[in-house]
Amino acid sequence: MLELKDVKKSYLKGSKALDGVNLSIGPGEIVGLFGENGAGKTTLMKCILGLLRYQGEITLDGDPITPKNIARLSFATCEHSYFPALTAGAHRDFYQEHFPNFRTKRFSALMDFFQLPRNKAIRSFSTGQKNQFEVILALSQGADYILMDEPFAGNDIFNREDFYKVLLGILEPEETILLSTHLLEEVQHFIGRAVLIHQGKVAGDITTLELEEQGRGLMDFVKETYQYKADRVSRALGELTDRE
Amino acid sequence: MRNKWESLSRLFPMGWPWQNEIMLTAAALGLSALTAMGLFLSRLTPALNALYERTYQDELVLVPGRLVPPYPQIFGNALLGFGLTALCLILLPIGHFLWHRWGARSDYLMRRLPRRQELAKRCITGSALLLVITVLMGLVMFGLLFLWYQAATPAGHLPPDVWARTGG
Repeated sequence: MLELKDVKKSYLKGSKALDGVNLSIGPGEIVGLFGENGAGKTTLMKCILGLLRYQGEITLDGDPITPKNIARLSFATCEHSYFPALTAGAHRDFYQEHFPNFRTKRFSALMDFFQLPRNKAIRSFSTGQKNQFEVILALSQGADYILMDEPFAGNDIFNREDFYKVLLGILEPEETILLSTHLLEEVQHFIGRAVLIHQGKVAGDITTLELEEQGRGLMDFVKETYQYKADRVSRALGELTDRE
Repeated sequence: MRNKWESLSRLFPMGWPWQNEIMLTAAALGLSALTAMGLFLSRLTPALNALYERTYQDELVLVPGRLVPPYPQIFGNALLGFGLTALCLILLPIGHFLWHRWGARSDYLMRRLPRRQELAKRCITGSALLLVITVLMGLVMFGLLFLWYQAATPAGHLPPDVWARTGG
């Protein structure tokens, strides 16, 4: 169980990126993390991984996250965290050395599925291939909790669809995904739970089963939570064009 | 031997052209040694020439009582090249760290490794090792040039205190 208790993060300018986040994510869950740009999604993930300092408590099965258990978390980020000058093969060797549970078979299978070259430096890959490789590394690390921060930015729709299907096919029951994305409608059939972040706080937390029971879609839930005003575009356009 | 050479890559950032760093440092050290000899000779040669006087018969004779300046004065800034090389090597870990932010954020990966010191190790160790070699080579050069200074100076023309900072 990944637990966040009253997690706060402020930046130097005084802006609150996270303002008392409480969240529990159990094993095997596939959680979508949604929110507007600047809501705090990336900050939340970086705090979990220890890449940013924070106030509050983040634990993994009751223990603080330290070098002893950090290998249980993996991270795929749209900023990319691979070594651009290295080949895929060199990455595999590096991961095998540092992560004892590295899934070599899964790595090979995913490399083959996405037809990624093994002997070319990653910097020579296309944007889509780079994203795929970033996610392949996160999925192959052998982590229990896989954090993904907008991993498909720049991938085409077919590519993303393939990935969702592959993900659902390969994930083992105890593997947990925390996926931050703006592609709400695309992932709504893939995730089991949606967490909405707004201005550094958890503004909504609901399972897709609950949504189904209520007869609502994920987009409806998000719009309601954010109190989205459907007429704001037409009003703005009206003001801009001086129309009544 | 090849494996030992390849194992050096563990002292540098992943994907960093570490062979080039070693080669460039070796070249810098070679150039520093040549510079040290050049600077040293540019001071020693006139000092040795000053020990002699030309007679009416056009012969060069040693003038009794004339002494070469003490070694530190002759040596001067001969280690300038080594100093510059060392300075570059001291600053290089910054470049090593920034390498992890070039083209991607591999520092994120390095910072979440179970071996937490891996990032620091790879940023610092290689340069530190080369820095130690640079310092040692500088000291060896200092010693070799001292031997040269002693051997090249005619007997009886060394100052009483060869390590004095001034005089002669």
